[in-house]
Amino acid sequence: MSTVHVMNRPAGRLFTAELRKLVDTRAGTWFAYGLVGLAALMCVAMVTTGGAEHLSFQNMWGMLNLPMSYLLPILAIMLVTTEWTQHTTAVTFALEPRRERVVAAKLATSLALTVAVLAVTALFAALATVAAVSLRTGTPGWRLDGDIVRNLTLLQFARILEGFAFAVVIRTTAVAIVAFLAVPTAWTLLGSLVPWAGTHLRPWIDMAAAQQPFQNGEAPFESAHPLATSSWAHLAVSLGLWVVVPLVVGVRKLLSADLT
Amino acid sequence: MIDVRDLTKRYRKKLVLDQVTFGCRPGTVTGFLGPNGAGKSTVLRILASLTAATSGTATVHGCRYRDLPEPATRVGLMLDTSALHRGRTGRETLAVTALQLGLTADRIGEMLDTVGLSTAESRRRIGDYSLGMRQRLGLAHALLGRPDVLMLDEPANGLDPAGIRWLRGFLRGYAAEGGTVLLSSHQLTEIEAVADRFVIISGGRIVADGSRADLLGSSAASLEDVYLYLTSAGRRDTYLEGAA
Repeated sequence: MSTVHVMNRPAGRLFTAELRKLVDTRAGTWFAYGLVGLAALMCVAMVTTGGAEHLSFQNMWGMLNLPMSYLLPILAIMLVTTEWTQHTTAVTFALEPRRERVVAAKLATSLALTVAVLAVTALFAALATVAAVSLRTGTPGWRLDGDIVRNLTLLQFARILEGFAFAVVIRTTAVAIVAFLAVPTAWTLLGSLVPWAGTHLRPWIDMAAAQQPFQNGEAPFESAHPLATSSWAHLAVSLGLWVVVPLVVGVRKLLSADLT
Repeated sequence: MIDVRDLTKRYRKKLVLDQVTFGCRPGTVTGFLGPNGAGKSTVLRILASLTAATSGTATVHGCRYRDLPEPATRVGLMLDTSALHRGRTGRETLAVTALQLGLTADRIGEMLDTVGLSTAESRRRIGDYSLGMRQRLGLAHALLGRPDVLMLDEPANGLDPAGIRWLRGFLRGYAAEGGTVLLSSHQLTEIEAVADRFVIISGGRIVADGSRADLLGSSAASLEDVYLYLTSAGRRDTYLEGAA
């Protein structure tokens, strides 16, 4: 028998493998193409039909990120749940029995994906701005507020963390996605049924409501608004409730679960 | 190399494994036999640290699988051939594991050749594979990290007669080079010719452990007779008492 000299595996390898697993399946490949295609289509639509006053770089960048804030979390959910639906947990956790490392690698992959999407949408927005200047407005709208960058980044990270946490605790693709999409609607419903809860409770427990101030209302990303301290508090509490709690519960369960 | 001692597993009130004890030495092929549901897969999953034992120990190379540094380079596992992502190609499945183990692309090609999967087949998605092709890929996957212990769950399942003959030759060669093989099956005929030792489990208990000669003794019965006798309900206990 040949022997292999093994050194401790660099943590990066697990991360690279997870990144690759994200896009190397049929579903993953099409999802990636779909995201790029959608961004391109949106750029064309904005430049050709959008009001000239909305064709600034930062507004278009923000608009491109809105649908991504629904699609990216679904990708993060699938990164986790497909291990169970495709029965690959035995292989994954036999290759790396330290299960917390696998979860960490998947989380790092999700966050890297978010950064990549922010960068790619910025590139598309830049191209759209160039096109808008030559085709429509004539005046370049290249202003970029630090607050907008921060809000967008926060928004995307919050959304993907929320999807990831749902997936770790639920572990079934369809149920996790439905829960991720339906929970905000449930709060809206609660708010209209019980007005007191809608006013006093919802800002704290509804992720979507807590994220609303970071999107600045109607023309979300044209200029930054100052944020109230309460907005930060709402975001922190709702993140704790919908990200930290399910993540802790889900990871604890996973570490001791019998895998089949 | 593989050491299972007093292994007990209880799911709520159901006793799935009851004081299971056996071992496997280098250079041998151990056939782990028993009807479906007898507890074979549970033993293998505990050996791979995927499932926790209620009590008892299961070690490979002297320690728990999870405590081995880079376990896939010490122990090759094939637990369930449906445990491969159907949307990924065969080659890509090997590539992701090779990436984690720090192996080069040469090793992937080498293993595909070993198990007899062509380049064209390796580029197809696993969802389009036959059961036999998945078994071959699963074996290539288990062998990727050059382990000297192999644990295979139902490896002959779905192989055609030529495939079974090939598997037999491969595993004999692997053991001859000093490797340790543990392979489970619910069909004696599939592994009768490849194993040099048989561990028979029934209802979560080991009912026999030994070579063909040990199991047959001086009787004129076939190994199949013994296997069926041992694993049929009701007769097991009388046999065990007789043996004791």
